Parts: sequence; C-alpha cells; structure tokens
Amino acid sequence: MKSKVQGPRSKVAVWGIFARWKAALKRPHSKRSARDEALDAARQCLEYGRFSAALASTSPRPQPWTLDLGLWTLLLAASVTAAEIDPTKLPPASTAPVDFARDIRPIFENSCLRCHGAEKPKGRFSLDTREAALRGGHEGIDIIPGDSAKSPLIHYIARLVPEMEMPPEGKGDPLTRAQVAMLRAWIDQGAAWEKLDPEAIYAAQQPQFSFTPAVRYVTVSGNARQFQEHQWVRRGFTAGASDFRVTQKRGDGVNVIVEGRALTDDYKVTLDLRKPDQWFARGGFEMFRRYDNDHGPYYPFRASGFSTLVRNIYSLDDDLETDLGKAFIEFGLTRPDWPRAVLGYKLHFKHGDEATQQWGPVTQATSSGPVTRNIYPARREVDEETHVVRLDVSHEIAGARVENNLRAEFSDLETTRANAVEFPPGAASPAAFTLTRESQDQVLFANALHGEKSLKDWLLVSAGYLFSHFRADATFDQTSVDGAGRPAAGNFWSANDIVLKESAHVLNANVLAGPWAGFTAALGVLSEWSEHTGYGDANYRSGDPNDPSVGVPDAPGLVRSDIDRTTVEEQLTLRYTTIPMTALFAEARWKQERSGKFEEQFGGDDFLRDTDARIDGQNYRAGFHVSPLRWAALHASYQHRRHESDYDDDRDEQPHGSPGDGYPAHIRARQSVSDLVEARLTLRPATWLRTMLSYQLGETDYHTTTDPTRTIGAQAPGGTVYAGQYDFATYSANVTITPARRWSFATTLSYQPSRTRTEDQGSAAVATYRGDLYSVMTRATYAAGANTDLSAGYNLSTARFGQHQAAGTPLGMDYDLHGVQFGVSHRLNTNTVVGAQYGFYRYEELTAQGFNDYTAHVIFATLAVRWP
Amino acid sequence: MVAAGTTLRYNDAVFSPSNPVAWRALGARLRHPRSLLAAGFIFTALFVISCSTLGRRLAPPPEIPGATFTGNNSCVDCHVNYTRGFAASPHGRMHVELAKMAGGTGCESCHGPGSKHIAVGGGRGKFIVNPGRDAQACYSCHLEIQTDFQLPHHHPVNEGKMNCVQCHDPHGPDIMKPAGGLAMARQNEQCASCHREQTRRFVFEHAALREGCVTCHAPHGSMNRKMLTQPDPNLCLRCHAQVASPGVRRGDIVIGKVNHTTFMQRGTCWTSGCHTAVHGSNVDPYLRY
Repeated sequence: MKSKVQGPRSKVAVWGIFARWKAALKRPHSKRSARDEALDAARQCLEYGRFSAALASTSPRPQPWTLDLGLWTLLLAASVTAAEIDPTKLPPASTAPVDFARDIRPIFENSCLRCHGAEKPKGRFSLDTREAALRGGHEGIDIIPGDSAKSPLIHYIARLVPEMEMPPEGKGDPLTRAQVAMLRAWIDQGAAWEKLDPEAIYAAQQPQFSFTPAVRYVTVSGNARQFQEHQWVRRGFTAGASDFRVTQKRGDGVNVIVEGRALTDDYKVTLDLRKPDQWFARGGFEMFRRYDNDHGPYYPFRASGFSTLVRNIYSLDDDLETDLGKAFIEFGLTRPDWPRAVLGYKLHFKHGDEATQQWGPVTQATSSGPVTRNIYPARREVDEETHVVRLDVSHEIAGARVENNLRAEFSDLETTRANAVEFPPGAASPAAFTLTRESQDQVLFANALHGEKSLKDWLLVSAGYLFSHFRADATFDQTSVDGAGRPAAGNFWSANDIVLKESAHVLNANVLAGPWAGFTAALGVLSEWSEHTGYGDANYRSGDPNDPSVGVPDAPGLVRSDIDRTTVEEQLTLRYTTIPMTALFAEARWKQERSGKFEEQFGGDDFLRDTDARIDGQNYRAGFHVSPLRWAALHASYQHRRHESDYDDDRDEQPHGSPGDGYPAHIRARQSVSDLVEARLTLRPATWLRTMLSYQLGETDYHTTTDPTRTIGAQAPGGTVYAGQYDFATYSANVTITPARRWSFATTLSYQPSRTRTEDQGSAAVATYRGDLYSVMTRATYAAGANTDLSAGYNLSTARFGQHQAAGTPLGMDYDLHGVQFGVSHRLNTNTVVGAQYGFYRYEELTAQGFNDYTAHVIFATLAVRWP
Repeated sequence: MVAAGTTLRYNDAVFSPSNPVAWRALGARLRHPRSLLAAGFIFTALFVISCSTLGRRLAPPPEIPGATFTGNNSCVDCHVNYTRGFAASPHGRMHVELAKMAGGTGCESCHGPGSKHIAVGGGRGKFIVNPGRDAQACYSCHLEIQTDFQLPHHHPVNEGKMNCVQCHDPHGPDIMKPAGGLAMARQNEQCASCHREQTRRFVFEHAALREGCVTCHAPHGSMNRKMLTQPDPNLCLRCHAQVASPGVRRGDIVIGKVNHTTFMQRGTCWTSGCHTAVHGSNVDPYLRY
C-alpha cells in the first residue's frame, strides 16, 4: 500500500508539514504520498530529462520528529476513511469455499506481487506470507480476518478510496467484481494461507547446500611460466571446489549465506548474516595467485654477428608468484528508522616474488668490441599489508540524504629488488648484483562527508567535503654484491629516516537539473588543496668494500620536497532527447592545476629546483544516439582532449657539472592533444540475430619545450619539438546468433593498427613502434537435450609489432596466441550436474625465437550437487 | 619448409597455426570428398535435431529467456538510488526511452529485459543480470574492451577474480571511479585502491603520474608486460624528447645534457638499469637506482 506516513519531503519547512496535515484532514481519502509524486518525477527524468525528487522523498522511512504528527494524521484519516466507506458499494462476498492456492494466489501473482512482494514492498505492505499480510504496512492493518467489509484492502481493490485504487493506474488492470468477491470471501473465511504440512515448513527452513567439487589438470610443454602468466592458472593437478554455497533462512528471520570457491591458489569464502531491516554481518577471505614469466627479453645476438655467442635470452629459473588477497569483516545496522551504519575492517595483502623490468646488462664480445644489452631478468620480493578500518554512516536529515565515510589505513609496504648490474663476456651468470630494499610505513586518515537533496522535482544538488591526512616513514637501503652474494664495488646508498606528510582538502559540488522536458544538464566541480612535504637524511655511499684504499666512505646528503598544489576540475554534461528516437549529448571536463614545487637533493648529484607549475586540461566530447528503426541503432561521438603544462623555474641549480643547463628544471612546457572519433552501429534485424560494428580512430600529438642546454661538446638550442605522435584505428564486429532454441553463437572480430613515433634525433637505437593487432573471440553453445549442453570456443590474439633495429634492443613483439575450448555439461537429475571442459592453448612469440612458446592442455571437470 | 614447386601432400607440413603451408594442407584435407561427406552428415544431423522441440532456449547475456523489455520507468519504483542521477552518467547520456530498438540503452541494455524480474516481485538475481559479476554484459557494447581483455597481459576479469565495477561506477556521474564517496574521481583514485606501492607518496614524484596511470599503462589489457602501452623508449620520449643538438653527431640522442645513445642501445629508459624508479623516488630526483 502506498505510504502516507512520510518524512519531510522536498519542502522541509514546518509549514509544509502542517499544510500536508491540514490537507489530509480535508482530503481523508487522498493517500497519494509524496513518494509516489517523486517516483513520477523520476519517470519524467528518465523519459523526458526531468528527474526525481531527493532520495529522502522516495524513501518510506519516516522521520522521528514527524512520526507522531504522521500517526495522528494516519489515525485521523483512517478513521474518517473507514467511516465514509459504504459497504453496500462493495461486491458481495462469494459464498463458495475458498482455496487459497486455487483462488487467491493467482490473483496476487497477477495483480499484487509486482509491488507487494518480498523485496522492497511498496508501503512496506507485503503479500509474501500470511504473517506479513496480516501485519499490514504503513497504512496500518489492511486485512481484518473475518470482516472483509472493514478490511482496507477490500476498499482499495474495490477502488472506493480515491488515489488509493489498487492496482494503481498503469500497474495493472483493476480487479473484476468476481475477484473482489473472492477476496472478500477469503477474508471472511479467515484469510487462510496455503496449508503446508509441518514437514514442509521444516524443510523450507533447512539449509540449502550446493557444492561443486572440481579437478583440473594442466600440462604444458614449452615455457610453462609464460602460460601461467597469460592464463592465470597453475600447471599440474588442482583439486577443490569451484563453487560452494549454503543458504538458510532461520526461524528468527536471519538469512545465512556462506559461499565461495576453494581451488589451489584460488580461494574465496564469504559469510553473510542478514536480518532484513535490522542488521547484517559479513566476513570473508579471498586470495588468488599471480604468476610471472621469469625470462628476460630476447636479443638476436647471432643476427648481429657476434663472435662469441653465449645466449640470446636468460631465465631466473624460478617460479615468480605473488599472492594477492583480502580478508574483511563488517557489521551494519539497517533499521529503517535509524541511521544506516557500517563498521568494517579489511586487510589487503600482497606477498611473493614478481618479475620486474629493471633488466640487467649482458655484455657480449664482438669483433668490433664488447656490446652490452640489458636482457638479464630481474625480480623483486613484495610484502605489502594494508589494514583498513572504516565507519560509514548515512541517514536522511531534513529531506537530504547525508553520508559520512571515515577511513583509516595503516600500510606496511616492503620491497626488495635484486637486479644484475654486470654480466661479463663469456660468463655463465652475472658477476654483480644490486640489492635494493625499500620500506614505507604509512597511515592515512580520511573523512568524506557527502549530502544529496532534491530542491525541486527537476533540481538535484549534492555536495561533499573530504579531508585526508597522510604520514609515512620510509627507509631505503642499497647494497652491491658479487655473484656469490659478497659485498662488492658499487653503490651503498641508504636513507633510514625519510618522512612524508600530506594533507588534502577536497570540495565537491554537483547539480543535476532538468528544467525543460527533454533537456538535462549536470555540472560538477571538484577542488582540491594539498600540501605535501618529504624530507630526510640520505647517505650516497659508493666504493669498493674489498679495497681498503678505496673503501666505502660516507657521503651524507639530504632530500627534501615541498609541494603546494591547488586543483580545480569542472565537469558539464548536457543531454537533449526531444528529437524523436534520438539523444544528443555533449560533455566537457576542465582541469586547472597550480602548484609550487621545491625539490632539493644534497649529496649524490646535487639538485635543486623551485618551480611554479601550471597544468590545464580540457576534454570535450559530443555525440548522438539514434534508434529510428526497431532493428537499428547508431551511436557516434567525437572527443577532443588537450593537456598543457607550463613550468616556471625560479631556481634551477645543479652545483656539480653544469648548473642550470639540463634537468632538474629542463622541460619548460609540454602539450598533448588527442582526437578520437567513435561510431557504433547495432543491427538487430531479427530476434535471433544481433550484430554490432564498431569503429574508432584516434590520434595524439605531443609537443615538448625545453631550455637550452650545454651538452657534451655543443650547445643544444632548446625550444619546442614535435615530441611524438600516436595514432590508431580499431575495427570491431560482433555477431550474436540464436537461430534455434538449441543454438547460440557469438563472435567478435577486431583489428587494430597503431603507430607511435617520437623525435629520436635520428638515433638508430629508437625504432618506430608500429604494428597490427588481430583478435578473434568466438563461442558456440548447443543444447543437445533438455539436460545437456555442448559448447565450443576459439580465441585468437595476434600481434605484429616486431622491430628491426640496427643499433638498439628490439622490444616490439610478434606473437600468436590461440585458445580452443570444448565443454559439455549434463544434468543427471534435479540436483546433480556434471561438467567437463577441455582447453588447448598455443602461444608462439616469434620475436623471442621460441623461448616463450608453449603448448598447453587443460582438463577441467566438475560435479555440481545441491541438496536437499 | 616446402620448397617452391613441390607438390603439396597432406603430411608434408606439421600443422602450425602460423604456418601458411600447413593451413593450405589443412584446407586440402578438408576439401577431400570423405571429409565433406562427413561434415555434411554432421551438420545435417545437427540441423534436424535443432528443429526438434526443446523445453528451454539458449540465450546469451544479457538476454533473459521469456522476458521482455519494459523500459526504464519500470525500474524507478524500487531502484531509485540508481535511477535518480542516471541522466548525468556516461551511460545515461545516450539513453532514449522511446527508441525504436528496445533495450538498446538504459537499464535493460545491461541488466537484461525486466518483465520477469518485475513479475516475481524483484529480488537480487531473480531474472535479472548483475553485470558487476559478469563482464559479458559490458562487452556486448564495449567490443574494444573485450579485445583488450583477450591480450596476453590483462587484469583477471575474464578469470573471475575481478569485475568491472571494482573500478567503474556504471550508474554515477563519473565512470572513472568506483561507486561511493565524492561524485567526481580524484587523480588515480581507482588504481590506488589496489596498487598502493606504485601510487604512494614520494619525496621526488614523477610528473607523469599527475596525468594519470593511463599515461603509460593500458588498464584493461596489453600485449606488453606490466600492461604498458609501449615497451620501448617511445613511451618516455613522447614527453622527454628535445630539439637535437647541432654539435652532436647525427644518430646520437641527448636528453637533458646527457648523451643517452649507449643507454638507449641497451634497452629502454627503465630497463637499462638507470631510471628504474619510474613511479617516484625517495632518494634520487632523477628516479635512478
């Protein structure tokens, strides 16, 4: 039933409440609530560009300070309503015995449950169970067993109460006199519900289990680690449960759900306890593993005519695996009349070893002298933990939805990187490594307060304020060792007490307005002020600990940076839908950032800059969506982005070397300009055929302005250079066909040529990065019977970005990645489904000369069982 | 390899997807009469079977068997939290309620036709698609994103370990952030929730991060390790190129006042053992160590 007892709507003034109260006294039958009005406004928004009243106005939750007034209004209105209903206008009750399942439930299903079901029933009146139906809703008792003439439900369905006719107009056809008579008889005969035997009731409350044991076997020939990195699965035998779920609705109304999966290296379990409109408690654990290839890049030494060939590619010969996951627990209060509150704790973690791209140098002897290429792989150990405590509270105050999010994060980030720095000619392994360990303990407090309110049925405003404070203590320790792990000549930098602080204030305001039919405008502004400082002592030691004459003398230094930054971003979105079957849209986003940056390093190379930076960004987009035919729709847009940075350097000093003639403050300005055209055509000529054609064309141009520099042997002029260009086109097509009940096909094809070229000053070490990318994704499913499905799929990803360089290290790739899958699932009985899948994967990286190639077979079998 | 002029037989080439000779051999094999006969029999049998009745119907997401499109107005009653500001969202800007093609935009374009969901009184997962858990609903329009996730290096969305709404708010005014909090995204907000080590504060920051992580990374997927947009010096030179020095030998490349020619030959800026701290550094303003 529609709610009458409502909290403050868009009009918050007390006089507004009194006005409604007086209106209720005058119009006792008028029970059309402000919520209904708001919903109508929301429909206007979706249809014509007008939008809803505030969330509060659509919520059924009454406000405490208006509750008493509302109750008085309700009681008064109800008494008047009951008194004014003329029972003689009601259809007489049917005299035949009524069977709920046969006579009543169909009426409910056809005309009532759409709004008064178990989930979010209108007016908080549910016809899901007899208990709920007799409890009534916001209007109070709606069913009086034994007295249909006085039951408000009958008055509503007989359409005797203006603006409370059920079903409301547009929600269903009015009930016939025969149906009303049947419902009257049902109430007069006691409003009996379906008769369930005690065992059935008991069974309904029993836990429902589903469990899917699974086994997977993966065999890989070739580079198995590359396969694992690409496909996110481990090789070998895996067993566990790909899915499990337990649900129970307990007698006290608490719903319990336990679900997840548990396969080797891939775990997830969540527990959800929820008592509707009361509270909830959730907890869980999730972890999966990421695998990295342990090979470095391939360099074609042989093709370069090296006299002593060693190897073209190197491997660490170790499994590089990282476990990523989280554990969480949260408690929430969800009582309708109370503020909604959630208190939670979450642990994010990341542990393990991962590949890095700080590849080490490998030197080869050639007839023209030694040549070095960085192709030796590197790794780092990662140990990250972040504890997050949060308290989220939201409520409706004076017709506005207000939400506050308090968050505290405590992070402990540690990484240890080991990379080779020397690999002499003819050696079997690197002769020297650098070990770099960094740690950072950081704390972040942040609080965001956000509010939202409808001032008019066409005007929605929201605003928020976020404050955050950050502090971190960081350390840095670097050691040089030889191949046996003993200290060796090199760098021994350290910094044991680096402090980082940052405070930020962020304001956000948004307006969504639809003053005219078919026109919507949304404006948002985000302003951020932040102060950042970082400082500490450092020691830039270097030397040879094994040579007493050199040693590793102290080289004390310091580092410091202070950044004051102000950023303002504005966002404007316009939508116009008055043109038949067409939506026109335009949006813009601007960004202005002003910052004062002071950076200083004493020791090391020495470095000092004091720079005022100005960044301006613009992003414009306009387009349309038109659907003039039942079987065709076209979407197209054009986007233009511009990003400009200017740096005004008050101080630019490098005491050692050549002060002020290169980095630190070398770049004076940068500019990137992008254009993007997109078009998408959707065709649905038949219910069984859907196609989509998509096209993108984009280009970005980069310009950089630098200061003059005195380079080695000459003076570089400085000035503006066309630094680079990136352009691409993407052609995509999708076809989805369901030609018969048994068949389903879906195929997506894509082709993307792209190119990046930069101002390389004629260097042969830099090659244009260009190539073509092809993708095929296709899948077919066939229902072989009522209980059996067959499926097959094929995926292809092919790239041709190989580079041929005379003097550099080619890093572009040519590869072909094929995947073929077959699957079958068969339902053995109501509770059991058996499934099997086979996958074949073939990867050929032509530019790695086979070192990363693999062929893999994957067998995956499941047995899904549920009971009772 | 088959020499030119050689008569091709079926067994001359071991089948390899990248071997054109093998493709021709496979094609020749498939054109053999017995193969054609067998294939014809199989397809005929499947066709005949397809015409027989079946009590259910296969439907790709977000299609829901038996359900019909009802329009966004049907969703307002229960889901006003999402529909209230939908007109301001990137998805809402293209919505046409009276479009001829039903379900092409709006709620049902992602969640599937809603008639059965409404008929049963709603409820989570009841005859409705939750795209947050199934990226296929997003792929049905964003074909290029589907392609990205097929590339060798990608976030594990297709593998079921992540989902789209972890990074994107499909209903809110700014799709470049997860739902909740302020209405507009802060710089790198969506990446920082997982990649804390890379987005942490440093004494010496890399200005590229002020333009966003996507300056260098393709967040959905890439052919390159670490999901880089380019794996070579072009990635850095887009910003760090400069006018060539007249006195420098042609072919030498100078950045700042340092001749980087030999470094560039070794690899790229961050792989050559030099500027390895690409996200920022606490000890070196040149991001080296």
